[in-house]
Amino acid sequence: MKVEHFEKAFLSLGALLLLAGLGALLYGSIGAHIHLPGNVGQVDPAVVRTTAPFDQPGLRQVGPNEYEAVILGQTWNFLPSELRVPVGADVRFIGTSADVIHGLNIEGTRVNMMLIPGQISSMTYRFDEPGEHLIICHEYCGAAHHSMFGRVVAVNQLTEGDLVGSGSALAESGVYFDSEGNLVCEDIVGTGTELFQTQGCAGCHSLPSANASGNIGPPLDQVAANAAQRITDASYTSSAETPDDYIRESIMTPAAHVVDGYPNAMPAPQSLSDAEVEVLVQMLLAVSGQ
Amino acid sequence: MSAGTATVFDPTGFELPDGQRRVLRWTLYIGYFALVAGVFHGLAQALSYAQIDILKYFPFLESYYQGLTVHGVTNALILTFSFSNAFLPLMISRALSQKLVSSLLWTSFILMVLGNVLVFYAVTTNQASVLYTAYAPLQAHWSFYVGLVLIVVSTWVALLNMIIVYRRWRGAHPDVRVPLLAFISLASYAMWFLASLPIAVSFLGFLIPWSLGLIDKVDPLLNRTLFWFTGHAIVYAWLLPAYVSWYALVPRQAGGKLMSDTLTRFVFILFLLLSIPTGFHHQYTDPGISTGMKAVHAVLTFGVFFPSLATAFSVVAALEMGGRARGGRGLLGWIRRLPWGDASLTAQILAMVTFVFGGITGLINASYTLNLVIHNTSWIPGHFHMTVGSAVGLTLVGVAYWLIPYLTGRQLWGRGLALASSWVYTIGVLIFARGMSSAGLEGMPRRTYMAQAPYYQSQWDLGGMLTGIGGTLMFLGIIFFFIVIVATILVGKKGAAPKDIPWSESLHGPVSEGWAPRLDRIGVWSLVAVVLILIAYSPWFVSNLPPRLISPGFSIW
Repeated sequence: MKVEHFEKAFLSLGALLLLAGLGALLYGSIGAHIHLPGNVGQVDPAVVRTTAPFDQPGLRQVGPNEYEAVILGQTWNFLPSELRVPVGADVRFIGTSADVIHGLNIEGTRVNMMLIPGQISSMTYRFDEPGEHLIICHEYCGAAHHSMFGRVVAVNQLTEGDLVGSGSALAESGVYFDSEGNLVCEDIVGTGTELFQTQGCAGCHSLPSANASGNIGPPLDQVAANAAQRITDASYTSSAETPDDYIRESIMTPAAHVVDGYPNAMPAPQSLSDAEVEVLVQMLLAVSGQ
Repeated sequence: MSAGTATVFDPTGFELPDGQRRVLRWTLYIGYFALVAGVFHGLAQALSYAQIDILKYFPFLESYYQGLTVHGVTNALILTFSFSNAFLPLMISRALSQKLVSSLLWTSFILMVLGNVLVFYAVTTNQASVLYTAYAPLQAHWSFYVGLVLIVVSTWVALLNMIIVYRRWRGAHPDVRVPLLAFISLASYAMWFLASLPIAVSFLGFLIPWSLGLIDKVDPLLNRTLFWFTGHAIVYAWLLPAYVSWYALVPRQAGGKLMSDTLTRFVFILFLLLSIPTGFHHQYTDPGISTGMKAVHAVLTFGVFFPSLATAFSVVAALEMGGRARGGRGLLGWIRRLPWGDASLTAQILAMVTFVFGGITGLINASYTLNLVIHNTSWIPGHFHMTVGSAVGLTLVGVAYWLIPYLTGRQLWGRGLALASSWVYTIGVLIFARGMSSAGLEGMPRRTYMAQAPYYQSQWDLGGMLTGIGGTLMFLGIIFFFIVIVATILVGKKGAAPKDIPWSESLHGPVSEGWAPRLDRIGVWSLVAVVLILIAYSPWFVSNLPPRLISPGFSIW
């Protein structure tokens, strides 16, 4: 009968179509060298910040025309938040997460991988022309997921500062406590503002001087006055006695006092030195009127 | 042109007792209510992609992601499993002319209600904004995980009910082939039972003890892998009940016949075998899984596309037979002669049309290397709103248009509005998916509060706008559906409802010789499925057990 005839023809064509598709995949992965992330290695998220290569995220040269770009995903930014990479070289992106699952999609390329705590992800890509690409976190990772992004800039010529260990990393921004415990920082507002932007604070808090408009946590443009007022509130039960202490406590142990009307969603900082926290505190006091 | 849904006269004189009908009815109401509850935030999401932020009009929501969790849980989980828990037992009961086991029917219903109450509590108090995928180490309140487990257990009880009914019938009919409708209903939930075991291990073994503080840490990749072990097959658990309707009921509604009894059984067996060992195609971009294992799952995923191709042929052939029987002539003339005035049939034909695009985009997702372009971009929700979001969703809407009248004894209220609901929804979902897909190709992420994203790109404007327009139409379509169903239940004309389910005859009925009868041995085929699953998954588990318990919980929303 006619219908069985059509049935056989349709199913055979369908099977052929699927086989052709599989053939194309075989060609893409073997012939055209398009590789997926595989099983590269493991790392303990509890110590990832002190484990190489994630202790120093950024770009390093590993061969004549080969580079490694190490990226650490954390709530809610990428470290480093901006990477400059050379055009025409093989760049191996290596990433992991310090906390929850994040995504890493470099828009306009085929670099697309998950950052899963405990696992190391890796993909190699060659940029053919100069240009700027967003790094987008495309997996839900908590309250400020939509503000988690970074940038990759492909450039014709790298400059000295683009490589790790050559002065661009914040760890070497010259912020430290001297032997008498005094904070040493040339430009507290400038460095503090940069920290505010690169450490993910701006994703949740608004602060006009840092060009930040996050609305998940309380606004910080009046934080000095607010802090002074809050420590006198009956609802405040923790131990800070000055606005400085209150802001420091809010950064280090965010759950100590949760401002009414906002979620208890702020992660404790995991990659800030004591000196950097102090710079943030002083910057916030300075730009909010004290 | 007749507008009502065709029914057959009862050949055995069997009618489901009123008490059992009532439980089935309330099970369905839970699902359809969940559908409507979930689309409000669906509207907010679609508009957010269009840079219109209406979240402030949802004062009871604390965040976008709380609403997104509601949308996923209600529309993908509660709607689908409530429907299946009512529909599949009804199908087997009617096909075999056997009563269901009342105690199990009630147990399944009560578990579903309890599960819903717990999940409702966890989500509305903002203690579970982890989305329906619940990826660890995001950690929800225990009530969220326990609630979802109860919903899954309710599906197991429904399956047990079906198995007992089947065995009773088999005892009285030892030498007869099981009727097709009963067979495919049973095969659907048997597949789901196998598929649900990995997520049960994940929730019972890790996430629940962890959320209760009994263990401190979990293995994120292991739990994610267990999720997708279930997670691709869960899609087929949503789809197969819709296929039951397309194969066994729609032909009658269109005035045609089911094409081939044997091919239909073969298709369901292929789904039983191939739905589960394919989960790594959701993890192509994951670290910690070798590319070789991913390739094996890619091939099997292409394999599971085959039964859907066969379905496309069978279902369209049945429709064509219907259109020609009603006087359709020429190559395509039969399409015009289909009973387009039947709201139930129209919704399901439109569901099939959108599924063509859902299937094609799905094949692209499964394509190993191509997946790198679209993984976790808005392309993905563009795709699955043409599968679960319309092939399944619209079929469930269409089935409601005869099933609610059948179970309540009331005539469908507002046929015009019912027809409008599926047309408006279909036009909406096609515009929506066009927007989501194109913006996704340009890198727009999924699951993201795009109206507040600081990195928003103007190249997403067109896609976002189409998403907003399409999503608004989809929302309207579901609101129309809600009005029709509520009005039918409350003020539908009594006594003018269909008296039986619209089951179909087959052009080529069951045969008793050759290999075809062996298709009926679901138990044996389930064992074959287990072997395939072991081949596809055990290499990964062997090298990843014992679990690496490394991640504490994060509740950061």
